[in-house]
Amino acid sequence: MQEQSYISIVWRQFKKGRLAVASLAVVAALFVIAIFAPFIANDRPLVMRYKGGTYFPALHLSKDVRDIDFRALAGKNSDGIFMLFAPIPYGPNTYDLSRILDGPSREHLFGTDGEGRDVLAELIWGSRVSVSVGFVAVGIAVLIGIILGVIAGYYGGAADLVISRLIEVMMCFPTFFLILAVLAFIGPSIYNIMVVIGFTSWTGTARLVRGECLKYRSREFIVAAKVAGAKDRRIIFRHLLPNALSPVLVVATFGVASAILVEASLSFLGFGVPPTTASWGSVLSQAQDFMDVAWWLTLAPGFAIFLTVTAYNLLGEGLRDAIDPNLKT
Amino acid sequence: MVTYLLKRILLMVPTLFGITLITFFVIQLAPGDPASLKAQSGTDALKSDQMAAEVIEETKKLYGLDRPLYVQYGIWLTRLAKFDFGNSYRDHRPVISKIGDALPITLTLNILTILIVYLISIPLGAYSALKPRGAGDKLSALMLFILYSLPNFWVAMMLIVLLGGGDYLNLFPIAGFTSDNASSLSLIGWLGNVAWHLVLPVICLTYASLAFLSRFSRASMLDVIRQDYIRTARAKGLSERRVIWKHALRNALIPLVTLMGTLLPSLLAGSVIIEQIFAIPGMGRLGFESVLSRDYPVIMAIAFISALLTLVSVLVSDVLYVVIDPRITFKRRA
Amino acid sequence: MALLQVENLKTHFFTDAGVVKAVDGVSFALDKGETLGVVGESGCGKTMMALSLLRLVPDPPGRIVGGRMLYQLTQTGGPVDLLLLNSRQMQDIRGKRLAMIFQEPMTSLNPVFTIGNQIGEAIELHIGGTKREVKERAIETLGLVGIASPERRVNDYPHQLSGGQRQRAMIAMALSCRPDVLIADEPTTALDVTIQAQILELIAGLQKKFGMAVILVTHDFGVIAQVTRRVIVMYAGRFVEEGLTEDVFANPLHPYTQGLLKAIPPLRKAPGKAKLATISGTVPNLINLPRGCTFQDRCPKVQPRCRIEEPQLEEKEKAHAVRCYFPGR
Repeated sequence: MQEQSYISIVWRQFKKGRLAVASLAVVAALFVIAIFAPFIANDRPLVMRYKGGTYFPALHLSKDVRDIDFRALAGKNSDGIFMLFAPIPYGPNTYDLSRILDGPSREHLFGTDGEGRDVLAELIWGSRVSVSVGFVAVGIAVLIGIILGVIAGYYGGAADLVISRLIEVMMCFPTFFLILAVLAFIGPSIYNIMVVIGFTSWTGTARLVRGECLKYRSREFIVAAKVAGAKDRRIIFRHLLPNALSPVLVVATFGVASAILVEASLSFLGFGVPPTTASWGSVLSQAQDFMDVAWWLTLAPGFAIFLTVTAYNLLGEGLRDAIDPNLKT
Repeated sequence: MVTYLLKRILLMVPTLFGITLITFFVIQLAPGDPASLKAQSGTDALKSDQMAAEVIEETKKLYGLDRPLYVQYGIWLTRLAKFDFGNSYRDHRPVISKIGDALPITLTLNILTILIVYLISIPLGAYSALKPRGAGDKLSALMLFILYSLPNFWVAMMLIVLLGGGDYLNLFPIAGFTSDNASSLSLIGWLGNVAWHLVLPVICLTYASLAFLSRFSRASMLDVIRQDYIRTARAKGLSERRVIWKHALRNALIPLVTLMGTLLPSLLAGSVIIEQIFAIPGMGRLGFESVLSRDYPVIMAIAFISALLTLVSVLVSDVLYVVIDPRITFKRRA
Repeated sequence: MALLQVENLKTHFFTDAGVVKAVDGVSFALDKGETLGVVGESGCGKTMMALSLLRLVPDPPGRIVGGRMLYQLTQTGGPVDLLLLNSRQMQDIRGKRLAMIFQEPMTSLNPVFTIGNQIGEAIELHIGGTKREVKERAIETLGLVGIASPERRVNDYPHQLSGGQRQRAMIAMALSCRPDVLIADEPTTALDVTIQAQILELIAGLQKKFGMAVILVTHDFGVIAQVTRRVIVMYAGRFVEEGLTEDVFANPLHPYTQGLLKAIPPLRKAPGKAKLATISGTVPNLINLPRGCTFQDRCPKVQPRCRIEEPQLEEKEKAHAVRCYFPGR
């Protein structure tokens, strides 16, 4: 009940910030796009009737339709064949070597890249990389941060000393280079990128949780719970963490923004996801090769990254203001 | 002062120890056989089996990877103590001399960046704190937010397209630290040449930190102008200008100084990508090239030295803190 | 001709909750060399009135919205209205003609500049002179306010001084340009009792020496009794009683003044034995003042008439005015 009202108070505060609400909409839209990418941009039809059967090639390529060239088929006017394509009838790996580096047109809203792929389709599929890297990496970071932060802040003593030192040490490394270095050893792949970003960006959360635990450790309600004989685990999960969680949410939101930026940078350097997976950074990287002939190719992927990162940052800012209006400066 | 410095340095020993542990841990991730090394690097640098085998062999030898862990760590520590990072796998030059070439370039780039960031963000933040929530403040807040979120590699590409390279305007060089004929220039000419080359990279490195620091400077200033001593200064009959730029600014600067140490790691990280794009032969580019070719000794040395640099810059900002805030003396802090 | 003639001064604060009338139409005259006390509970508007005299009301949210502050700038010429001066002209008045000292000596001095620097600043601005002359004058003023070895203290930072010494330094800063009027806002409240007396004595002594007028703002009638000739009692942004200090003490006319006087701990009585009277209730909400007398809800002898129309400040006895329908015992 109390929890409920807290959330509604925060929500009411949050709604006051117009930019924050707009950012939330952008983030939500990004989620929808990432989840439904196969239905938005696909070179295979969503539904087709073919030789008496009904198929959903976009979802599942059954063996009856596997060898069909859908696009060629769409051109012909055959009876008994019905195909419904996605709004953007290109996949991220639909090469059309006859249309290389086309400028924006009705068929290709953002043009085509150096291998004739539709840039918009690549961006839509690329959102999946950004969204998943952002979430998994930050999830790992937050988990590590909370565990270490609670240990340091609640138990204190030697554990605190060691963990605080570790935080200090981690903050000395230039994170991006550390990520690159580790990836040099273990090899880049989308999973490794998530894990490495997670393992290198937990310090903010850990410091925050540690601070919150220290702050609340001596408060009356914690002391009262201790006196009443509550176990450490209960105190941590029932009393300490709920109090620390909202600021962690803010840090995590900013964390998603920077994780997305890091992934884009890695892919831009050609050190991220494999070239067959579309990612905003890799689209931008390819665009770099054609800057002299088609510089506008960089606009759309750059803007996608920028918009997403801004949205997350503004969202974090809005959350912070909503959680603690006093901090508003 | 000397005792203060000594104590501070002594306090850094555990952190330094931690840094060696982390770097040592990373070495342990090195792939053990050529096949896996080849499999995980998609680049041309390690195409041949023989090269991959060579890398594995040399790594094992350099770090003693087949020996017990504590022996390996011992070897690693003794090497670090002598700043002996082995030889590069690529050209077999000593790592330390490669870094010796690259480090001054990166430091020039980053110190310049820090200076510019501070010179712009302090007045900017202070200025928007004067009329908080006013139109100018809101506009600058939004602009700074946008700057903060712009991916620097994208900005770099746009700047190259628009201001360099000759597609539109050809105002600035787009690659290198100096022109090829720079060695024939006089000292002043040489400096001018370097500055000309650094304009675009410094812009790319500056703007994000600038946005961050301006927000911080504004918050700090807002905090200060609420203080009683600002009212006292006004009551004396000082002009508003003097109240703000003397009494308020000096106090608002104090927390900003401590940020300098934390600014460096993010700038060094940013250097990787910016130096790569602008082909500046600094630490960032060296680091990235080593990553591509799995030149482990160079990678490890750069990671270690960057962390060390951060430690030093933290020390510098601590000392500056004591200098700028009379309430804290070297004696009291130590 | 009075040195300072304030007429119908109004200072309002424009907050989200509404307009706070912190100072609501006060008028008084201050003669050359006179000591005037302003007394009232915290929140009655006395500090804002003091700040208004220097036009130092924090803006936003506060603003002087009406009135005149006529100041006799020269012996012969007519008075000028301080509210009509531009900010440059007002700066010439501050520190030179009207100086002010504040309640908190701990926070009222800038921590990063030496005492000498802060005193010298005013001297340099209003009197001028070489660096050496300025410093000498600063040292001289420090000696004047009873700081031992001023030539050494002049190079100290505020944190190196004790609370009493800091307040002396503040007084030195205010007196360094020999102002005509010293406004002292609760100058002793933050200090130890023994030091309070010393500071009051110091102010009284310096006032005699330089013949300046003093406006002493305080919540403490005891302080008023020690040094002032005339006293004004302020409540909810208005004056409720005004008269010679001895008259007001001997024969308080307003029930609020009577309450304040009863609340002074009597001297030479064992603490705890004497029951200290308090005024019930608190200062009313200045945003929604009740119709009629502002003191009605706390007044022991409130009558129906008090709730309908506010009484005027009227002279009931010689030079003794009160804002009450039923003055006296």
